[in-house]
Amino acid sequence: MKMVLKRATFSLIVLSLASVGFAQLDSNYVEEEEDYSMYDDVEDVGEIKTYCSPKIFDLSPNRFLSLGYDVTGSGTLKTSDEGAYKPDDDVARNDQSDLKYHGIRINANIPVISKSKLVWQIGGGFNQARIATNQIANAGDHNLLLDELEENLTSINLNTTIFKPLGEKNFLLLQVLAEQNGNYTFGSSGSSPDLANTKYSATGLWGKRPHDRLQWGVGVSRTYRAGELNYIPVVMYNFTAENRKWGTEILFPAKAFYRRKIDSRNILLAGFELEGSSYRLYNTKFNAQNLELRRSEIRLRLDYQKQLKGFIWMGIQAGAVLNYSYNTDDLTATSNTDFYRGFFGDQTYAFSNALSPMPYVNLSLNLVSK
Amino acid sequence: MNNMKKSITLVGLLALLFTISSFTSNPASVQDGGDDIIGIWEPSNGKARVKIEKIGSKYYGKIVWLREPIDPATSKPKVDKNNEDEKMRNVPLRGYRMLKDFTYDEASKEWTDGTIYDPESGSLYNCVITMKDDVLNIRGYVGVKALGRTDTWKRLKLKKKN
Repeated sequence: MKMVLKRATFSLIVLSLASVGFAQLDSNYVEEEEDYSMYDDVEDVGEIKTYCSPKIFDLSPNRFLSLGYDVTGSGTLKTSDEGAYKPDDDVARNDQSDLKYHGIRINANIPVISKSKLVWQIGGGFNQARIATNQIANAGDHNLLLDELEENLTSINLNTTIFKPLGEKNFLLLQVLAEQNGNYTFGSSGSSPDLANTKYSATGLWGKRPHDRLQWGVGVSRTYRAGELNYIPVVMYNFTAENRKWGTEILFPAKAFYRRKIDSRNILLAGFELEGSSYRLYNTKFNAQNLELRRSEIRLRLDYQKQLKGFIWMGIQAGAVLNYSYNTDDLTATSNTDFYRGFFGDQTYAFSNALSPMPYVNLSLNLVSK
Repeated sequence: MNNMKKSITLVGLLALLFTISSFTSNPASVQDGGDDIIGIWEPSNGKARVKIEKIGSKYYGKIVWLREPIDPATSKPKVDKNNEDEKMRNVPLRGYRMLKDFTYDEASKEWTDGTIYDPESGSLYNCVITMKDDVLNIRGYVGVKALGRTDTWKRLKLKKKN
């Protein structure tokens, strides 16, 4: 009798455990061996079109949000007096000062539509260069220009990027950017930005993506990266080697980098980026009142990017800032509207300036998508 | 003796009832719209085929076919070499469960609360899935749905063998 009851109780426990076990099946569930060859021969039920991806293997992560801090060492700024200087003139720059700057850089890039057949992103940025100089005594125009620079250079931009695949291999890329640059502030003591001085840039590019490790394209750009308005051809060449240890990230002439993948969480980039904008100098004490600082610099750098946790990455850049342009235009003659000088124009500058190379470091914390 | 038989019968009945109630209370055995996702699917890039199945109350998708199953660098079957976890880097990609832990929300007609793993980047994303006309919209995202990308997958069926 007792034996029978014990067996019955044991059966109950076994059955209970079995049923509980079944109810708790999860991702640790051990599967049966499967004959995968059965999936070789299939037919479509649903219908979709195939489009090329906007990315290739192992590109450095796309930044949704970025919070950075940028600081330079000291360089030497040499300036001319206010005047009219042709681009090829041999200009006397008799006054010089030490100059360095630092500032925060906040940028966001949010997808509005992100589907296989269309990717549309909008973004914005706030970048500041807080400039410090050592003014020299009785230097006239030189010190007046330093006064303007020490108001700090601020850039606020809105941008949008559209990636439109044209099929499995070809794509179009369009980027439009509106930015407000100048030595303005939002406080009562300084100058407010004037929307009439908004600068517009755009890039259109046709590209091909032959396979997962190569993406190239050609296009044209209206840009201020060289400091002043320019129209230039652009070439994209993003490549990853077959061993997936190295590659390139090139959008020439804006940037060109050699990429070394240390592992999937650590990336090293070496190369350059051309950064620049035209900055309005507000309420100047010069004769000219429509001054635009055509500021452009080539940032030669090593860029180390490291995954901290999940999609949070940090970036450390170190390198040299090489001045490309620090000249100043007066827009009074063109009724305060911008003009095109290009590489061959001979319109005169109001100031002809030069800034020596200086070291720089940039630290950033980024929310990314790989 | 009769009492003993009654006791055994009672215990047996209890065991049967308990087992039945466990099975019927398990959502795995309940047919609902969520099961429409079960089947074989191909992402838009055509590089893989994924079998979505239901295990317990949740939906999972594993890679059952690769267009290029052999890694040209090693001449061996592809493994999960981009995984952030070193211990996982020798796990074969075929058979890898890249969709995990989805539950079906009857109200929104979405499969939610799951994750999608991208073997090409080694990244794990939050994911939500919707379905229309044998096409899945699979949105992987970072934290919030706005920070994501949607891919479309088409349903496949096995060809009947002659």
